[in-house]
Amino acid sequence: MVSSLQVKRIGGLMLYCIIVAGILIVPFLIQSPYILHILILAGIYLILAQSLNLMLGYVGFLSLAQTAFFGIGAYTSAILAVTYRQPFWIGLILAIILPSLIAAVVGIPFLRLSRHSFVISTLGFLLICWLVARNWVEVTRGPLGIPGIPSPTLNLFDLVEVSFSSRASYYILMMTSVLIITLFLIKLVNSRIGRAFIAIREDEALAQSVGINTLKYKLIAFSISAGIAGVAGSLFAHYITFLDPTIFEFYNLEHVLVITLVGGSGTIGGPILGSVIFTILPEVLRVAKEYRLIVYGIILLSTVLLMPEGVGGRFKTYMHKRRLKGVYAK
Amino acid sequence: MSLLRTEGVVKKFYGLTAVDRVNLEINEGEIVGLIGPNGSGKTTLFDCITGFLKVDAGRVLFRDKDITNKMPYLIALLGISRTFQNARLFLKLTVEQNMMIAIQQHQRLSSLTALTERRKVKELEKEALERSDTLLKLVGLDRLSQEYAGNLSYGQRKLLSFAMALIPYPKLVLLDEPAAAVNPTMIEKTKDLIKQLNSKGLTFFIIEHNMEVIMNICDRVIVLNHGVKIAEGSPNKVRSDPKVIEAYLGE
Ligand SMILES: Nc1ncnc2c1ncn2[C@@H]1O[C@H](COP(=O)(O)OP(=O)(O)O)[C@@H](O)[C@H]1O
Ligand SMILES: [Mg+2]
Repeated sequence: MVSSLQVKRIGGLMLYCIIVAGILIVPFLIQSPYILHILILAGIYLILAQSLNLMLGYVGFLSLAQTAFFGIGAYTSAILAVTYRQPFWIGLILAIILPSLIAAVVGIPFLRLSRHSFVISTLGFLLICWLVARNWVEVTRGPLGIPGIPSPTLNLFDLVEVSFSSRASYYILMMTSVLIITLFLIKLVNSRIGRAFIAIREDEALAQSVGINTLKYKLIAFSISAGIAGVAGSLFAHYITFLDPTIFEFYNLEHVLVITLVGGSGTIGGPILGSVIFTILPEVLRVAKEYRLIVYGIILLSTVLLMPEGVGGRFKTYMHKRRLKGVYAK
Repeated sequence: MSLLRTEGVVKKFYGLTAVDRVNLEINEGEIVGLIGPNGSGKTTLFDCITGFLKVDAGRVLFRDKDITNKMPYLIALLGISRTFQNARLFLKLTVEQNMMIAIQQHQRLSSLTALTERRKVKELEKEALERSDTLLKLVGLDRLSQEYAGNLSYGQRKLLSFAMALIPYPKLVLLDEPAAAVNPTMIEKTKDLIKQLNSKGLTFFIIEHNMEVIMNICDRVIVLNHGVKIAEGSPNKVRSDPKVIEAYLGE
């Protein structure tokens, strides 16, 4: 006999497989390099938005340093590939490790501060990274930037060599990364560690009083979020193939904040929704280019004012209320 | 045996000395009251004991171990639990989630296992749910387990924070005004609960303005005024102490 729970599970699994297959099949259906380019960039910003979401939505600390870790990841990957001729995979791994370590170190003073001071300290950190990238010319080549970052290649036991130089193949690499990170985050936020994050977000003093080492969990979250931002950075550098200090400028920060806030922080679905909205929207608005920024502004303002929890957050609350109604109706 | 001892604890806020050289001792198995006019430093003293505020001078000892200025979570794990005067809760979560968040932090489970071993996680989750249910039954909130904490009445909030304070298996519980703004039936419930837990060996240190509660359950009462300990003794003795009467009249 198959229980209804099993049916649900199998149903969920099938739905999941269909989504994954659907996402991965895109480059075979859509041959347009332009659309693939837009989707690849959307994937990079989605990963970055999820790293912000982990800090802001789950721990309740707004970190403006996520684009700094993004930049550090990008530079780590680029320098290893160009200057030291290392394979992509080494660069990617170090682009995760280095930002995580830096976050763990700067997090010790930053995360002892109040939520407001934390925001400012992460902004300061971002500005310092920007200055370092511009002035540490021996390593970063300063404003000249690093050209010729190679496309990633994957060497399977010296037998097959897969190159991710075409847009279609980079798209697959991108979406695989997005999927892995999304699954990891879903697992993380629903685990005991994730619940500690939520406890800190809701009331840090209370969390401490029931025995939660809040500084430890804040450091874990900050470190993980920095590693995720590093992945986005590495994928960005190897895709654009050119890197300069403008990666630390406000455009990236602003874009990721908008995706996260409008989509809704505190849910994994929120930034995904935000990414979809802000990938499609600019395309729709291309016909009326001069109104684009105004429409952006209106959307951002109305979300912040009318749905502070974001579109995704609003949906979650709605579903929860419906479920509760169901419980009481029984 | 002395469970908790403070030696000359001082806490200053800028110019104001909120707690002024306080020495006190709580013995195992006692219920001790802490009274004093508003602003006399009672909550501040609790904050100093539980590590939420750093003391400016003096020491806090728990079972003869120096715990002065330790991190609040460590003090909680060592066995001193507290509630907050305004009954802090995770308001956006359900009653059960409030309990679960705290309970699961005390289960032995490495972070790695938590991410990989599904069966172990399920087992522990079941254990945690059982513990949550037991504690909620104890304070009489089990039927509201799926309600949002933010929808509870003030008295129910205080009971939930009481239940949450019991989660880290404390030896000593500090309650900050458990009966304030709570209806009479709920006050009776709280009193019974304290007595019941005390008979099982739990020690209490309770800030309370309701003199009926103090007279009824406390073995001993400590009185603060302007941060200074001005009297100590049995509830009856303290109530007739001229210094105490003067402190309250001066309010
Ligand atoms: N964080 C703080 N900063 C400045 N002053 C404070 C702070 N907390 C308490 N106080 C002051 O310390 C004194 C004692 O406060 P409190 O311990 O809350 O008194 P009680 O709990 O006995 O009513 C009061 O005068 C109060 O205004
Ligand atoms: Mg008080």
